[in-house]
Amino acid sequence: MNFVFDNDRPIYIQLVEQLEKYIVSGKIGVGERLPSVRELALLTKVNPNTMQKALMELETEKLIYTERTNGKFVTTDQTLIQRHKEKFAEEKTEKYLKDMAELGFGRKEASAYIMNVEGEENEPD
Amino acid sequence: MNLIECKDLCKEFDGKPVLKNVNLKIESGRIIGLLGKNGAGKTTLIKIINDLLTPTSGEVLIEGKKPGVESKAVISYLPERTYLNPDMTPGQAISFFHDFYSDFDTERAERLLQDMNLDKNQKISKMSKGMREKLQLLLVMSRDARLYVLDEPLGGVDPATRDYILDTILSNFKEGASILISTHLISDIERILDDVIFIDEGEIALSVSADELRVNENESIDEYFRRYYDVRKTDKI
Amino acid sequence: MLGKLIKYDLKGIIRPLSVFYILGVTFSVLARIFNEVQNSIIFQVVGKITTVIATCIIISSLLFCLVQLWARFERGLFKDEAYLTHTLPVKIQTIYASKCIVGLISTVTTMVIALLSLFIGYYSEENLQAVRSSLELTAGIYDTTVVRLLLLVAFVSLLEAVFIMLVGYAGIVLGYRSNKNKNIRSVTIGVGLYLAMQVLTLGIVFVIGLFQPEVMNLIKTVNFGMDPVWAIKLLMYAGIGIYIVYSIGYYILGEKVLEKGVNVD
Repeated sequence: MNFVFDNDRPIYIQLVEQLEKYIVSGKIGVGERLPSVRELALLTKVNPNTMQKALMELETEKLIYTERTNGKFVTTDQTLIQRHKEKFAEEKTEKYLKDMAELGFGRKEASAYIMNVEGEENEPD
Repeated sequence: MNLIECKDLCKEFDGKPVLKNVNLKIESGRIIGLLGKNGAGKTTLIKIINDLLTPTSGEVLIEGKKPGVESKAVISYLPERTYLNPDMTPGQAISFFHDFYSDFDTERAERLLQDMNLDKNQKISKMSKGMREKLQLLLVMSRDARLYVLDEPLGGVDPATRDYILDTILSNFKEGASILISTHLISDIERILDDVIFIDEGEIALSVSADELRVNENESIDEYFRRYYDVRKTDKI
Repeated sequence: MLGKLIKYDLKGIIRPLSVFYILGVTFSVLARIFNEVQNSIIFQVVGKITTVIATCIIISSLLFCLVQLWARFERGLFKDEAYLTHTLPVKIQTIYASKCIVGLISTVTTMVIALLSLFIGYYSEENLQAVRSSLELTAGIYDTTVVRLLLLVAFVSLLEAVFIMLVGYAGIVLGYRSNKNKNIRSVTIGVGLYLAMQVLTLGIVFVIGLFQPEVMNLIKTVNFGMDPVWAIKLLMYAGIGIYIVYSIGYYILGEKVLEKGVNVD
């Protein structure tokens, strides 16, 4: 796992986004136990307080849950994960369409570009 | 109770004010960046907290008390200078710290010494500046203090070492402890900060949470300060 | 904590001093060896030279001890190392006491080593006899024993050394209260404090003289062996008392000034 941060946005928001991405992509597995806040902070080289805040955010989103004494776990709710995944996909698509619109392409033209992209379909990693 | 509280703190040198009416509160469990240009008063403030300077007026309270034996037992301070006796070796420095600080963890110190590839038996006078800085950092971070005061820990080291130093700081400070870290190299450090105290010409120009600043100004702390100085420059013209 | 401080302070100062000790003893032994050989002119010349060198080392070891004490005091309390000294969880009074106790110990040690070296270098039947007879003569005049006289001389020398050391400490502590020219101020204040006490001593002796004409005579004229013994003794004991009071006074002065807080560069 590799975490990179921009300094112009709150670090915890970026952490939430990146952790979400790892969860929906399955890099952090369904129901998997998370390391402790401190360990995660060390891993990502952020302040433990920041990590704590990010995890709390993920907890309100129900993507992770705390089991008393045992620590924090990724949710086992597949539909919830799927929903977050779709949310990401929508955001990415919106962004693409917006960028294309700035270049003067309409929605139809933009999607045509995607259909025309050459090459094999990439396996998701 | 606040970990540190400054009340109307003033410090003059020969009538020249260096700190002007500083009022400040620092809580437990935070990483605070003390930011500002060289000569802005960062080190003066830090030295007053550590009882190395006597305030001209006003006071600083550490856990409600003036600097003294009790505050020194809970503050771990990294100055900019080499403060170890140059005749000592790292091994002797470790036993010195062990002798005087009851919160000193000798095992951690020796582990860090190995990590940093420092020779336990080399005289400090024979070490390079970089090695001395590392040695002092490891001594300071081997204490389980309630407050770590680090004065320019990243000054004069290359970027790779900077990362290593930040890692060392993050991985060794005790839970619930605070870190007050002064620097003029904001961009290197800002990602680990909870709060930001900005000191300019002896006055507290800003004391705010790092995220609040980012959200309100929509830019990095580093950018904010660059802009601050640019505005001031044009003001003067 | 005082014990630990003394341990480290002592370790620090003994290192440089031991160089002098070793040199002093070595040259004394050499002088002794060369001087033992009677029938060679070269050896005699070399012997004389080593004797001179040994004596110089012994005398300078006493000076060096004082200078080292002051230098280490300044370094530990006001220079870079002060950043550690003043952030130790130890009272400033304890730190100061440690410096003074270590000063006393190293002064005594240096004096003992100096005497030992002198003994090695100069011991011979005739020299010992000469010293003994002159001591006995002096002791006879002052109506005391040789042992007492020796103890008195040793005590007075030590007292003077400790007094000078404390004057130096007080000078440094006061000199470093200002923000400029700290070194020059320290030296000036130290010398000033020393001279002030000498003048005060003369003043006190003069006052004693006003009430005791015999003591006044003692100051005005030098007539060896003719002075009344009791007057000399009175002056001697008064002097010792005064120096003890001064030393305590300067000790307290240094401590009080330090208690007010420091300003380390």
